[in-house]
Amino acid sequence: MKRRKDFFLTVGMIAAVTAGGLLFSEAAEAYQIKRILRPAAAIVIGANEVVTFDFEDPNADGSTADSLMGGQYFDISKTFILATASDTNDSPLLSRVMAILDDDHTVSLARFSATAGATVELMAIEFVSGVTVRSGITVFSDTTTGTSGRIKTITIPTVDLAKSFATISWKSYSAFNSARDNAYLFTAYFSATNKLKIERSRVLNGYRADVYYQIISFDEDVDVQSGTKAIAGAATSATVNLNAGVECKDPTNPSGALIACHTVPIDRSLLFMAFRAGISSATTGEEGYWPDVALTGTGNTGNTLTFTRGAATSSYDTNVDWFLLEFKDQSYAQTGRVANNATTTPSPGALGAFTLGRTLSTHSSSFIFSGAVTSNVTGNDELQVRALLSGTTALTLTRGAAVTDNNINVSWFVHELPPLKVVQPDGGETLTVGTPYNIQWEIADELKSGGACLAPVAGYHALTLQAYVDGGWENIATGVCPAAVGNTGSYSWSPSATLNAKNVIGNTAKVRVYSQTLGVPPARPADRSRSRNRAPPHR
Amino acid sequence: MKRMTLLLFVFAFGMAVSAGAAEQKVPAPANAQPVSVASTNEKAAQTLDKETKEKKNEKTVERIVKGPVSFIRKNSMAVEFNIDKDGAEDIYLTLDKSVKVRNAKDLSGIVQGDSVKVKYLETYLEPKKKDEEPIVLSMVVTEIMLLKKARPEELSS
Repeated sequence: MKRRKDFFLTVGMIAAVTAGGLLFSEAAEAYQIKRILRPAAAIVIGANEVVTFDFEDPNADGSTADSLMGGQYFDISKTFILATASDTNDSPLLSRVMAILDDDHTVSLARFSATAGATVELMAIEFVSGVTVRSGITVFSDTTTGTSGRIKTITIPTVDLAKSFATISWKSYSAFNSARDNAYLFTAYFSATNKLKIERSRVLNGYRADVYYQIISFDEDVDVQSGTKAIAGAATSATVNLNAGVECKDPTNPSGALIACHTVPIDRSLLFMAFRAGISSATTGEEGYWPDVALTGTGNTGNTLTFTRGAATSSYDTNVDWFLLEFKDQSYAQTGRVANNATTTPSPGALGAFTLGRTLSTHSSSFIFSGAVTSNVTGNDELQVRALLSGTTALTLTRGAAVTDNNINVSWFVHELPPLKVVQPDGGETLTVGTPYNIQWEIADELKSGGACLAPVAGYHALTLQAYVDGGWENIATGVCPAAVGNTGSYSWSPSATLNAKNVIGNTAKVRVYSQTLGVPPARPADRSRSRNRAPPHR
Repeated sequence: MKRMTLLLFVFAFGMAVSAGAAEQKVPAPANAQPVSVASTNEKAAQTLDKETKEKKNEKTVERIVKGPVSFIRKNSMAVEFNIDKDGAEDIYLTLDKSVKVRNAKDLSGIVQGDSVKVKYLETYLEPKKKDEEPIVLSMVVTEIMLLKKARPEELSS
């Protein structure tokens, strides 16, 4: 497991100084996390079809004394949710939970069954800016003729597929039969820049489904590679070579020829995936098709995605749709794999420290069959894992049951997003010596408490603004507090010809802002490259 | 911000010259019909910077789509508008704040499974090259007409 070496706290801006002024040559950061909220405890669905979790009134007593919202409801166009569930039952009817962001403070967790089952961990991830989220529900019919019950294409406004990914969750409508679980596994991918395609491999009478989808699009500073990978026939694994592979979808033409993937820094990457069994008939030992997906490489260079499933059979493939996000900013990611674990709580061990309010996680799991793949007795309960981030170093993975000879692999990603970003300067600006210029920034909610600022922004983190001039960082201002509450702030700077006795004219400069409470950030990644204008514009 | 958005919108109306032309260039649901294009508002358009206009080149066309509601909530909805050999198709739409609702009291009178006829405005950018697709910026519902209530067995989540 990779451990954190440094703790970063801010973002910076590059500027080039020209005679008489400053010419900012690099764009500002593009997105800013606001907060990631979680219920105080796992949500037990119990004997309910639908459980509603209200972030404004978590204990549902009619009082908002226990509100998690901090007086601000979600902006649902900038918020997505991730829910993971575990259960002690085999049946997807009981264990599969469709998590829906109903409105600006409520999440519904829906199943079709009212039989006791499923425990859910939930995250609501909200951004201040730079992200657009579209979400909805689509219905899969149970018709067995044609493909209308198997494939659903959703027309959406055009998105930049090099900056977008999708997540899905669903609820099942039919009773348990482990030889039919494959009718309730879905994948989602973009078949065009304005088409989201959700698919399953099998349709049966009575096997209707509702699928909740979320499409998350970043403005900039995130590169998304995506693809569909099959673990074929008699294989138990497959790989995507991110160095020289030709297995990524062309973001400008996702239905066209594949293009070369590219390596990613492991400590800046996050994976989302969904899978389905490539079989349209009943089979036994179906749990063998569950895959986990790990990102590995040399040092910090992630150059391989490895897809592993529990069983090989010539009768079916496993199809995985994956999105690999590479963050170009000061994000901090950790990833790892718990292999061959026999317990119900496969532990990744202690992680490098993260800040809970800015950190999310994803994972995938696969089975290990020690014996023949012939039994239907195993099922979702041994494979479906829920994940909880807690404290500053803990990722707790829990499955519903463990059975002899059926250990589990879990690949996991934990990703912390930056606490603030500089909005202005945004690159290309020319500043005139002596003329005031507003340096602007946005902050995560974390920076609204525990700091030294006084009213009207009591508790906000005081900030230091610096410029990188002539080989060193020089203070523009320290102890800066925003003028008003919120997630934005600005400082009026009148650049002089010199900064702390250094001549700014004719030099190359950077500007950065950081929290004095959190400390000085490390240098930005040396391999940082901007992703602006790499793909078609979008909104 | 709202003011600028409004001006762009009015400008977009002015740029669309004919419904038929717009339909040829913009991919749309199979049964979506362009029904009208708003008239030019020259005064509003003139307030925009010429360079911005050329850069944006936004156009807007009104379309209609019919089908069962896949989901609906305060600010968005989806309609299943087509079923063919390749599967079923939904269209995801944003709801205008002043959306008109016909044959129902308000939005709360329309639920998943109801059959509806929806008018929406599609705003897009023309492709720069012939073989490129237009960039659809938004699809905003202005009117929902309830055609038929869902049968109880069609209701789910």
